[in-house]
Amino acid sequence: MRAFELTPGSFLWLLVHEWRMFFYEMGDARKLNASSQKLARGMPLKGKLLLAVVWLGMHFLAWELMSDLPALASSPSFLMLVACSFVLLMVMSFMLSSALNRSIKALFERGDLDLLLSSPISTQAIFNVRLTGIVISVVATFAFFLSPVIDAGLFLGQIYWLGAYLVLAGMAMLVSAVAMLLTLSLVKFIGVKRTHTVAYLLSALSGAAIFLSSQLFSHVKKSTQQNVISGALSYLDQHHLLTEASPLWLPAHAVFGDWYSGLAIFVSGLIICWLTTRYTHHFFVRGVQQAGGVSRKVIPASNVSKARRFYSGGWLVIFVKEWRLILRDVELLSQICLQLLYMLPLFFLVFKNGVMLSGVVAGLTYLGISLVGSLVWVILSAEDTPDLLHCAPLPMKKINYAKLGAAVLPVCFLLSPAILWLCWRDIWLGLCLGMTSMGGIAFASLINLWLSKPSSRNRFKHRGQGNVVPMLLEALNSISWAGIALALLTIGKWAWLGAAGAALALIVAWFMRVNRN
Amino acid sequence: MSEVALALQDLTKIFGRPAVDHLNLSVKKGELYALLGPNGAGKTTTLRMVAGLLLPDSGTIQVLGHDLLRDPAAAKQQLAYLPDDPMLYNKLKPFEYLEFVAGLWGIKPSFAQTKAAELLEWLDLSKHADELTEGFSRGMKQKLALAGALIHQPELIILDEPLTGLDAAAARQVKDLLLAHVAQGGTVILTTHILEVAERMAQRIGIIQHGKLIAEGSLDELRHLADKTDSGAEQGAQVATLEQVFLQLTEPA
Repeated sequence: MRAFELTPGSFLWLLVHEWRMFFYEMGDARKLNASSQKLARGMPLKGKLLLAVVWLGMHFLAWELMSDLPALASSPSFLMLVACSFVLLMVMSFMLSSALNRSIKALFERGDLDLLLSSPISTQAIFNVRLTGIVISVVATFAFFLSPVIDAGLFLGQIYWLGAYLVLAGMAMLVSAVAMLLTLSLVKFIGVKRTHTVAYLLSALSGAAIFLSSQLFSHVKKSTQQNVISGALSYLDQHHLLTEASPLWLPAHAVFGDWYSGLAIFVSGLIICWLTTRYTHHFFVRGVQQAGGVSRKVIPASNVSKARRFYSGGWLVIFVKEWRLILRDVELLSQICLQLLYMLPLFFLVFKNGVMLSGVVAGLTYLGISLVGSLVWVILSAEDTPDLLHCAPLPMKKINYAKLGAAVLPVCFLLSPAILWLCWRDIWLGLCLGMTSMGGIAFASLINLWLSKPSSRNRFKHRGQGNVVPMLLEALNSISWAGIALALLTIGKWAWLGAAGAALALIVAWFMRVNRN
Repeated sequence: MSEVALALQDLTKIFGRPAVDHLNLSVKKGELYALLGPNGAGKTTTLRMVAGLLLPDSGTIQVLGHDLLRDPAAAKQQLAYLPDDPMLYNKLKPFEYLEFVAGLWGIKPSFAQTKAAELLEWLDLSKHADELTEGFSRGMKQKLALAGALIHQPELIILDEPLTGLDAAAARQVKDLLLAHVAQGGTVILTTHILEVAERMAQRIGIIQHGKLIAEGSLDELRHLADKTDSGAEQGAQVATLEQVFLQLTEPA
């Protein structure tokens, strides 16, 4: 008998289940070893160790940096408050993106709500646990990145850094409640299927919203900018929101060690979560019922499908099939778009300055290779029915090459205008981009071909968790080729370093290649 | 030309313990053969090796005279495999799926298009031609997978639990199709837990246990075999149904 046993069906018991599922979802189920029938779940030990090493390394880096800096002032300047608030706003937008993703999963993808709702546990308790689970996972994710800075402050004897943890938890509660309400409202107003699509797009956009809006704003006319700024400032001033005591700067005050502000943020988050669960759990149940009872949309068959001529040849049908599957997978597309969106800062900077074309070439090289890496993973590893392909009389080698082609062609198509534009500006720039991006794409394809393991599309975002080495090699390859591009255009003699990195990635992948037999 | 559709010799596959243990099996062309056995007996492993999805540890597999390991393309060209979990793409529409399968088997597009329309019409899926398969019921998915298995007009069809999840009308359709295929000279090998199906449809039945073929023959031959091995039964009491034969032959010693 266990020393401590939770009452079955209780809040804590259900929360432990939720917490366990959070970890199981971090990796694919796999056999413990070749002869074993037992399955291991969640993130593999190698992945956990790597995360621990990275986390400790981040602590060390933060400590090194912060030990040379003066301690935070207990009464910061107004400018510091504004800067800190801006950073917190950015963090909050990323949190909202993460919370939206998790609420979609909680509502539509976990698939255990039917079981839970058919049990005698109250729906209120189920909703409480689901929302708490989202809050905990958001806190855990962001604490991983932010805790090194906070902990380093604490190690340096600056106890007021603890307030940042209160802000983190308070913000996580607030965004989780907002994300859940947003998802449920979408279900109510636009239906389950569209919610799935729209919520993923919102999730992708919210992560980059602040950056994108700031960049768009910087591209409007100066006079419009000034009008908007002065209008906003006068509004804030009229409502006394620009004073240091304004509630707008409450989170920033908490980060600078004001315990009352920290507690206020935390308690506000707690109250919002409580209100959400207290008054919207019926709404939640209806949302789940709608999700579960979504009827198959019967589309009257047109003659178009019957009349359309079939494509011929193994290569072409594989290309078409892969592209159809990608274009119809909204979640996947939104995640790929997100990957691209996070790369946008680079492009805004280089294009705005106009002269940093070598940076454009390196950035585009990196982007192209990363995109191919993602597409190759989706097309090769996340094949829906590998058995069908193995049953076919086509050799697997041919099928895999066709799949690689399906991943590489769209990226080449996307890169070609940039190559042509650069050739027009300076032929050497265009050639350099063509050479480095194609080289990197070829290497990335081979690395994935040799190291890919079967997985499913919904693991796309977490594909690195079970495959740490391939992800590291892919990253090394992308960075190396971007480095080659930059070096060729600036300091040519250092290009060998990039070439060595790319070669190393390829050689290691070759030695670690998976035996397909 | 070989008269044997499938020949397995000393086929072995070990997953910690032998899943298939030196299995010898021969199925003639134009035969409907049912492979029966308790759960975990090695039926699916055997079929997956025949379909080229698993590599045997030892032994040979001849499909319509072609060695599967030496010449997989020729062996697979005339073979269709339909597992109990349909091999479908959720985000494809029925015609797109059939177009893809036909392309994999190198079927001429004009022929594949006509054949796809015929199959979907016959399986009552034409009216769902513009829907994604992710919204299909289990039975509809099974029927679409069957259409995929038939689009390249295979000579040998291997089916693992083909009637799972089908309603009575769809099950009848599938059974009729398999019998028609055999009547036209084709070969069908199927596994099923519905012993009545094997009893009514199969010309020969093989019973597999612990990866070994423990009995094989027509229903009458199996009855006779069961009578002989039934030492504990009352004298004169004959084993009547396939279910009784199956239970008697597979019961623990």
